Amino acid sequence: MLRQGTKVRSIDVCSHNDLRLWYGMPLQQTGGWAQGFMDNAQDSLDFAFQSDFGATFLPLGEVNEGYQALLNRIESDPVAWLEWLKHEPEGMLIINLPSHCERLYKALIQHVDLHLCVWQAEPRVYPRLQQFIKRQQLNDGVPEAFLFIENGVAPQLELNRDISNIIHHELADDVTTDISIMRDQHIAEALATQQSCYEYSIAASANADFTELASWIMKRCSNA
Amino acid sequence: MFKRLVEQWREARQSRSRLASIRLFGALILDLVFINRPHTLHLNDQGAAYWLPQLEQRQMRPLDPVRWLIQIVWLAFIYQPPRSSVTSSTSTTPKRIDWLRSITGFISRMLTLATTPLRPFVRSERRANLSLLALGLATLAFVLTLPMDAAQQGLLLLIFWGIALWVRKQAGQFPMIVMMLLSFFVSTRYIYWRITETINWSHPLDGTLGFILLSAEIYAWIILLFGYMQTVWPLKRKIAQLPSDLDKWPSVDIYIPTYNEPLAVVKPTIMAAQAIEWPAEKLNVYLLDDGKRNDYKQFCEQLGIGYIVRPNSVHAKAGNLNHALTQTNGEYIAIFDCDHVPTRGFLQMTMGWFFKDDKLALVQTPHHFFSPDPFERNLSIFRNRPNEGELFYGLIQDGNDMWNASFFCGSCAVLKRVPLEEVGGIAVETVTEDAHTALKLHRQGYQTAYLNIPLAAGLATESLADHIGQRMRWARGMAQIFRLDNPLLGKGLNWAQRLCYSNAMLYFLNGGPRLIFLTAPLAFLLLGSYIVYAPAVMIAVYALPHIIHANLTNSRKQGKYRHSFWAEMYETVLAWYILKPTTVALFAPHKGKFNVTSKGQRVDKNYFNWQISTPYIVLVLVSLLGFIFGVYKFFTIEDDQQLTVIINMVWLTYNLIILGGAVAVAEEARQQRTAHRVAVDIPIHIVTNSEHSFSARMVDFSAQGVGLLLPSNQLLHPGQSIHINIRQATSRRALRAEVISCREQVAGVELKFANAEEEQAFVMATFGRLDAWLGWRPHQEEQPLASLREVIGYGLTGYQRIAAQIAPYLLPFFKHLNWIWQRLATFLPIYPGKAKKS
Repeated sequence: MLRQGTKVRSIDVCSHNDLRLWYGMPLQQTGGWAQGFMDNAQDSLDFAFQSDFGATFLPLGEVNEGYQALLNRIESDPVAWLEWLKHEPEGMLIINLPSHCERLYKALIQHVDLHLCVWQAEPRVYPRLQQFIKRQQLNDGVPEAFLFIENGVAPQLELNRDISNIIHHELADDVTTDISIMRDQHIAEALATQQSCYEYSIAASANADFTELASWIMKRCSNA
Repeated sequence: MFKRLVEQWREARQSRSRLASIRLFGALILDLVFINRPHTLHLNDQGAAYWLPQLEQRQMRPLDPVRWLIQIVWLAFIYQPPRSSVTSSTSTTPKRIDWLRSITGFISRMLTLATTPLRPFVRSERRANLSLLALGLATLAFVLTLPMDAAQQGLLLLIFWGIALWVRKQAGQFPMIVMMLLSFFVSTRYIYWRITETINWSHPLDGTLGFILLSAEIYAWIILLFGYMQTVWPLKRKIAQLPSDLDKWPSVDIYIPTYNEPLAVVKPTIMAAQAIEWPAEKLNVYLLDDGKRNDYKQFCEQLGIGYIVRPNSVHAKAGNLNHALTQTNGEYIAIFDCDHVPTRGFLQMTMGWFFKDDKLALVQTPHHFFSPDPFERNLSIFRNRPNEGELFYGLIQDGNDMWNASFFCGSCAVLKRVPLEEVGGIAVETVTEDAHTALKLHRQGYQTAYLNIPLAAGLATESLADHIGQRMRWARGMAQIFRLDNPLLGKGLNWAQRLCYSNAMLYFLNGGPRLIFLTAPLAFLLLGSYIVYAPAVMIAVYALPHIIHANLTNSRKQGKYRHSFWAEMYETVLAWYILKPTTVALFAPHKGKFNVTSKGQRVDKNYFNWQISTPYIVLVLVSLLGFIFGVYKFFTIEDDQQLTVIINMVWLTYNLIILGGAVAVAEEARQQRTAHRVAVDIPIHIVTNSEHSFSARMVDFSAQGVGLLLPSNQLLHPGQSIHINIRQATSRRALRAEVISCREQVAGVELKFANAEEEQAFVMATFGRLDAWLGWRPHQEEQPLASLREVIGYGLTGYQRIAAQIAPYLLPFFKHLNWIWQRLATFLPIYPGKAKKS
């Protein structure tokens, strides 16, 4: 999205604190927005990291015991948290939510243009998906902003293909996207070298997938 | 405006020489005069070169002013700017009946209006209407037969020509009808004049030869008029929706008849037919194997489709289909020739019309070919020009549809079982069982429909000999129907249906007339016979307008589907070969048998087909003799006869060009692949064994391999195993493949299907795509001059090819002839915006 001229700010809310690796953030740098938010800091940008390729990233930082309290605070007043993040009105704010924390989904779904639920075809996905749908009562209706998207598509692997087909068969068309991200070793190798996939290998198919996904998200959000 | 022109002139002079500025400024004036778009007024090289493509030459050539003058005169008086496309209705309701009703209603109202003052004097209104109609016809006959001298006829025709050229520029169907009426009028006057004033019966040879030529001309006139009527208003039917309740969808049996085709040809068809999107419990696919082959049976069992054989092979394909009718019970029958691969939406696109019309018995779709026919292959025009079949499937069938006279074409069609059984199944009396079956359905009062969307594709005939063999069968079959079940006679058809069927059948009798036209000028040049017994100037004022109007009208009507002058070439190639079967069929309609068109063949090397081209080479030699005689005659004949010599020599030269084109097609181009490559542009992913994935584009495919455009060089190497991930409908499939060749960014890979399911997935992702054949050919507007130039070029190519075969020492002569033609062609006008090909 950045390459297509859109202002983007990414925020990691996952306690694994892994997203920073994609932005080339040094491992020694342990601070993040969580502590600042809990300490009622004025500007979230004080905790931002500028990547080599010009992206603004807000790492969670090491929070340990305070994580539940952080989630409670966001859950109690999501609007205040979003205000604090203060992204530019014309820009995009991308929030990486933890996969194990469905409460945040409930808290934020009313306030976002798009909620992408990323899944990958492997044996655990089917029961987890069933559980998620049941807990979130999605059978009774899915918010318009909510969509499932498939990652790591590998039709050359029989198991991956079969599971993918089953999940697509189970999910209604209006809650899935036409876009998917193919499984590509380039992505892992790019991460290992702390580069973006574009920088690592311009010919990688992942680049085309990400470009398509970025265009689609921008179009979808501009229509929202 | 003037101020802007001055500004433009100053701007031009700042950067260009005086001469260059004058050229550009002239082009700007042309722009203003012809297209009248002052709002886009701007002087630049591109705009100048648009109107005068000759300006694209870097240096001025001698006589360039003459070229510009010719171009400007042509732009002023003849050029027709491209018509904006008329928005077609998106309604799914056919307007056929409404339109006919409105026309008949209009005529009725006019008759009523005209006869109102007469009512007190006549007892019957019907009689009054008939009287008025008779009066109208008498008036028309009077005008058509009005005697005129050369000057009067010339003036009348100049007026007509002016109207035609003006009307030709107008968009829409009604201007087309005006052009047809003008052409009808001019041609009918010509034929009347020919019959009444140009046969010299006092001289037996002149009279006999003249009568033969006149007969051919009357035949051509009938075909012309019938053709106008047939295509006066193409219906352009849209897709009709199916009911949303799937329970209402009927059961369909898919028949794939085969006889001797290789399994590799039949496989994709079976797989695609099985994957057609239709409720599984209501779709049954059957292979009807008249070859009774075990490997076919095993293949069908493996795929779980029906395999039907019969104890005998009587009545060829028709008998095979009829036997299957007794073995299955689906409510509808879809028929595909064994090489016609259907797209997955075939039934959903076609079946809707059966719900809208209970009397509908047939929905036919076009026969689309993904391989080049002999003309396309041997002249290297595949996908550049409309192919031979496009006129029929693009225009004529749509025209037939308006009159409820769409023909069954034997494949890519759906038939309703009950009407089909009512007419005794597929007709077996003739070798064109398809057209005859449709005729029988129409006689029983059933409707047929034509949906002009390519929903299946197959292999074109693969050699000129096969092509001619197939057309001979069609010609024989149509002549058989004309004799055995003449559409002009018998019950059940309306006049329009009779006319459409008659035209289709009579068209195949063109062998004789075509040969007459090819040899007619020789009668005067070799024998000194006056076959058109009239002064040359009278011939000019009667014949030329007839030819010009017919060509102008056909160019506008058919241009998108068949370029001008190509019909002569197609017909010339077939003329000699269809003459005998059609003549025999007319006198002995029960003779002749069904010949199967070969599919899946190879042509290992280029070769010249002497057997096929011999009749044309003989004609060429005789014509050349006539040409030599003509030159001699020109210098020895009386002065007042010289124009007659010139007219005959021009005619003979045209014939020689067409014959040259026919000979050029006889050189068969090499075709090494049995599996034809289809050019596409489909995004795919390549996955290497190390699980690195790359985006690439599939640039062509065949049943066994694909061509890839890679994102960078040296990404793959020959012998490497890869997976190709391709989208099939809404899911993705990975296919194992081996890289065979790599050349820069292009790689050729061979697919290694692990099982039939994988192969089927590939077929559905390629041949079976719903949009697989849409936008296949760029439908260009007709450019008659460009077509003429092309045809002349192919004529010369033909002579070069003969020379290369029999007298290589003559090659330099033909090369020089070609060179001279290339230079002469630079004087012909060029369509605005078209860069001249040197």
